[in-house]
Amino acid sequence: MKQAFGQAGASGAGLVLLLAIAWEASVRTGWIAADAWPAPSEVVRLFFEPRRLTVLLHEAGGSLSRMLQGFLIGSLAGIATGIVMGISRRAFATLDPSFQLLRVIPVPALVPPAILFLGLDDAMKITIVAFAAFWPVMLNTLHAVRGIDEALIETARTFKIPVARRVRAVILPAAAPLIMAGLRLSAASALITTIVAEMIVGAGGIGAYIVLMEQAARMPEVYAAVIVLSVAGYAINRGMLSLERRWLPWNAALGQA
Amino acid sequence: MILDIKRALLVSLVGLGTAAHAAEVAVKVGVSPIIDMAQTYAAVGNGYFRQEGLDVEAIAGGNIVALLPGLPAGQFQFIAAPIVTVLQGVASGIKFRIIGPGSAIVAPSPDISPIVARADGPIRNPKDLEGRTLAVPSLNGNLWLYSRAYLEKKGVDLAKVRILEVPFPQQFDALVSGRIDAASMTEPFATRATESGKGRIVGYPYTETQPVFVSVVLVAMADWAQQNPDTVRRFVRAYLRGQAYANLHKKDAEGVKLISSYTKLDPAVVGKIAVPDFPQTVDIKAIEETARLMVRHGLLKSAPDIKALVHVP
Repeated sequence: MKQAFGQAGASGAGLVLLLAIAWEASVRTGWIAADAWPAPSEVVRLFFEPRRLTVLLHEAGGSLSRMLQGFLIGSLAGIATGIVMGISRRAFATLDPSFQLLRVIPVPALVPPAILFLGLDDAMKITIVAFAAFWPVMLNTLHAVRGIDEALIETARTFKIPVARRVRAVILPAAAPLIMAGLRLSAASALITTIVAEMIVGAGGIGAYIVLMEQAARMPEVYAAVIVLSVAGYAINRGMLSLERRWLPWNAALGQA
Repeated sequence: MILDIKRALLVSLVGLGTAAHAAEVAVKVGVSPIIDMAQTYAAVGNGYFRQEGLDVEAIAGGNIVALLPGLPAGQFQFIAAPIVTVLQGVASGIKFRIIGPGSAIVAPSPDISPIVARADGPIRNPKDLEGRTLAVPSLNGNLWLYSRAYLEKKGVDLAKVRILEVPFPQQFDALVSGRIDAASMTEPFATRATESGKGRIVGYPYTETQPVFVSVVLVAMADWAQQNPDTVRRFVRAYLRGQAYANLHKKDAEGVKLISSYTKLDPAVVGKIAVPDFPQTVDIKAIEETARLMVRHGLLKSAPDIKALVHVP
């Protein structure tokens, strides 16, 4: 199996390399000559300039910090709400209509009222990220709790296990695989939302950096920031997958990866 | 006994420090890293605000129009904003007051916003735009209004010109690829377009329509300004010093250093591009003309009383 994974990994890396070469070739041959399409060699060169690299990493750190805080708040709220709505029919009936209305609101539409009530600093951005991170986790938790094998619930009731212990020892472990999947979705959503909020409002982060560099007509810096984002997103996803493998080794849904 | 003296000294030092800090008034100003804000960055960087006893915190945003709602919300007390957006806000009931000038485009100084067409294309003068596509950075904004006013002044039938919204950084690519026929650009993109040899200047919508165009003004909320006249006076004094500095050093090494430090523009580029003027007074007549054009092009139902809007501290 390791060999199979190794081969798969190599061909994956190979494709990325091929795309990069195609990009470079398209610029060198003059096939695509546009302001917004710098050569990857120009972009990569920026990573070797200490001052530029420091700025990029500093902004990335700010974005990731905001994203993490929003993700944690939104996910915890999502898990708690999902469990409550999964267990209680009444809670579901009360909350669901409002949730259905709220969850489709796109981030740019949220920003003006957010500025009004929360200001322009990190608190506002973290709140918006938490809002975006909440939905995938809440929905997955809800469905996971609802889908738990009735036999488990009945057994717990028969033994008169109190609700709190039932949640901790029966419901959470049974719902865990779906919840983890929801967390992975929500992490991606949190990263995107953080960047979008920063692009709109500014004041720090990779999103604001991208907009600033665009306005200064420095496209190689823009792409360098995009690469940092892609790598961050990839790392976060792989990190969460390995956490999942460690905590939920029985989860067949993870497959061979 | 020595310990007592030390303790007494420490306490009094802390006390003095807090007292000195307490004498400073804390205010926040909304900024965006664009050339028009050079005066604010200069006033902060050169300590003008501090010298007036003001502790100014700059709240940075990417887009001034997106930032503007923060003023009525009380997130900051001052902001330099585009005149068209300010007047529209006033018309919809937001109590802005113009308390100082911002940037202005004044002929014969180089105009920062030309209409640029393809050098090898068919568009040589405004009339050629009939039946073609013109890009502006944002519909219903400063440049949209003045591009229309300019075309009208040059006898172009506006109904025959298709106006599209394309953000500044993407305009040159769209022009060269033929997706648009002309674009109302700004610096540094305008200079890049002409220097590349692929762009040709058709005209200047600001200065050819109106020799003095007040582009950006310093605003505060009417109620707050009325309740804090001393703070407003001090802020405006320091701000005007920033205006003078920015205007004086527009093209020299100091100015280039200031502008490139916060806009992140390459210093060599800053030296080449056109930079707006930073006047000391608010030109009411120029704003009245803008308001008139806004009514003519459907941005306002009626022109507000500009004199009443200007709140000179």
